[in-house]
Amino acid sequence: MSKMEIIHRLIEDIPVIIVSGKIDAVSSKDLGNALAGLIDENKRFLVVDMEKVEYLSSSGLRVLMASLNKLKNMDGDLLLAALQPFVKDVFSLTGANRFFSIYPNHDEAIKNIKK
Amino acid sequence: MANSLISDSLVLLQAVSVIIVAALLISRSRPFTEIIDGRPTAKSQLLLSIFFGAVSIYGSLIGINFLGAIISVRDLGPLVGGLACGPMVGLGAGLIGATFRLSEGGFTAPACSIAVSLAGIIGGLIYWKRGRFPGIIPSTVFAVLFELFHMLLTLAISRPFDMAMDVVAQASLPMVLANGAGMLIFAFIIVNVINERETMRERDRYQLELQIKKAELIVAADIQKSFLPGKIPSPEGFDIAATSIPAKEVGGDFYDFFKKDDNLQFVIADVSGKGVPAALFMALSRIIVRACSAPLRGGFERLRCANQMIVEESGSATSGMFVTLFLARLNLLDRSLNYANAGHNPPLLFRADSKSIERMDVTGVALGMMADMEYEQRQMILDPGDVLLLYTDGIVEAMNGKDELFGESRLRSSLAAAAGLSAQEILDSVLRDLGIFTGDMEQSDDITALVIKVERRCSNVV
Repeated sequence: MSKMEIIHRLIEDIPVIIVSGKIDAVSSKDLGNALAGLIDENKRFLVVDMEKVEYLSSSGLRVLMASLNKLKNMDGDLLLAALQPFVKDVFSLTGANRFFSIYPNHDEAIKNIKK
Repeated sequence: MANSLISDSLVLLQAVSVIIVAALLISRSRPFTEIIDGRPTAKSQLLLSIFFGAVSIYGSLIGINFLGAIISVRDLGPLVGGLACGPMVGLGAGLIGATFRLSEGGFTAPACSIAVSLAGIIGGLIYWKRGRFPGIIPSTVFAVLFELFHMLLTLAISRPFDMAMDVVAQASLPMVLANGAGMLIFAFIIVNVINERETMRERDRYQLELQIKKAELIVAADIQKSFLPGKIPSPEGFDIAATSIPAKEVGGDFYDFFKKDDNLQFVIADVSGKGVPAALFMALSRIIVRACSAPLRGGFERLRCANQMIVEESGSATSGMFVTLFLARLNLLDRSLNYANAGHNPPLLFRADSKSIERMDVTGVALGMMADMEYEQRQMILDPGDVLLLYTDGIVEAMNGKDELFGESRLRSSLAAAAGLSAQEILDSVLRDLGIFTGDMEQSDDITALVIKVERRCSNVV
């Protein structure tokens, strides 16, 4: 399996980024670019589906934090879905889970935007 | 007829060979490369003028009789000299060629002398206008056009006109072809040399840039090393060891000690990411944590203060940068340890009595993530023989060739196995176990660890 892959989908008009593999110091740049691209298109709500992410480094978390802060400034939000145990640990260890809305799957995340 | 064709062709081939050898020789010579590199000296221009003048004389002398027509490549030398080396060389070579042609005499001498001078001058002007050798095709086209012009010139000024007409009728096609072909050969070789020099220059420039960057990084690494405590404190009753190994020249991990009265404070921290961005953020965070640990601030207000300052001063909201940090204050008399953990990998405490390992869990979020965070303070009492191991995620997230992480449980086993040794030996042993696990995998993240061991003999202090 290659390091990290990103699939873009649009579900009910909400961009969903489906990430798989390892988000390390190198691949986190690609994730950052993908998120920044959508934010530049003025998408205010983004969902990152991390069901197939087995590893998240602090660089990866940095990229997610940066995007979250940008979106919150635009009255938007970055929603996370399907965190696996290792990734969940990174969020709870650093305390970053306090700032993100985290859902069991991306459908659930999208439902909560519609509300 | 067949015989004369073969012998004439052989003479022609010989001339072509001489031109190729001349082109190869001159293109590798120092005067020529000086001009290509844009550093023409008077001496090199003079030498090149003489060389291309000599090529012109050779072109006059060999005057190949090809199937009844005399083919001269006299104009070629000055043409190339002008096109490749500029007006001065063109003019010099042209005048040499012209002087020689005049000395030969004959009714076309004036026309041919003017032509060979003009060859050098016009070639030089083209170079001057372009600022460089014009390339293979333009040069060849120019040589062909120039030879046609040469023929017209001969018709215009050579008298008697009938004889001039005869010569031109016979010689024009072979002359055009021969000079065109000669130019093609020269141009091809010259362009090769120019490209080669260009590639070489680019490679040199790139290497120089790399060297400068490398040198800058080495300086940066030195500066960063000076941020780490030069000397590990050795308070009575405690044995302390520490190390920090960045994955690149500079890194985002740091540790710090400050001793005040009977208290030893220590910090271990890890900035998100690695390399230069992490190093800059590390420098800032370290200063802020130090500033916030000023004597007046009590308790763990200092983490709240540090977080606030990092959020306000570092632009961490935009960059998403954060630093996980563990801060502790150890009372050297009663061995009480107060700590707060801002999102850092929980340090491990090996208890000598029970041989069990306790974790010093997170008590607040990583610094720089969000303003107005609170950091809870907890306390533990250390006992003789206990070993405290602080580390960064470069250890537990180190991978082996099978994509497995070293992980906390391996680190625990490693700590437990070495706990009876001295602090430095425990540190070495843990890093050795890590090295065995990762094998020949490259270190991908900064690795920092701190070991504090309570010595057995201090058990009677309290």
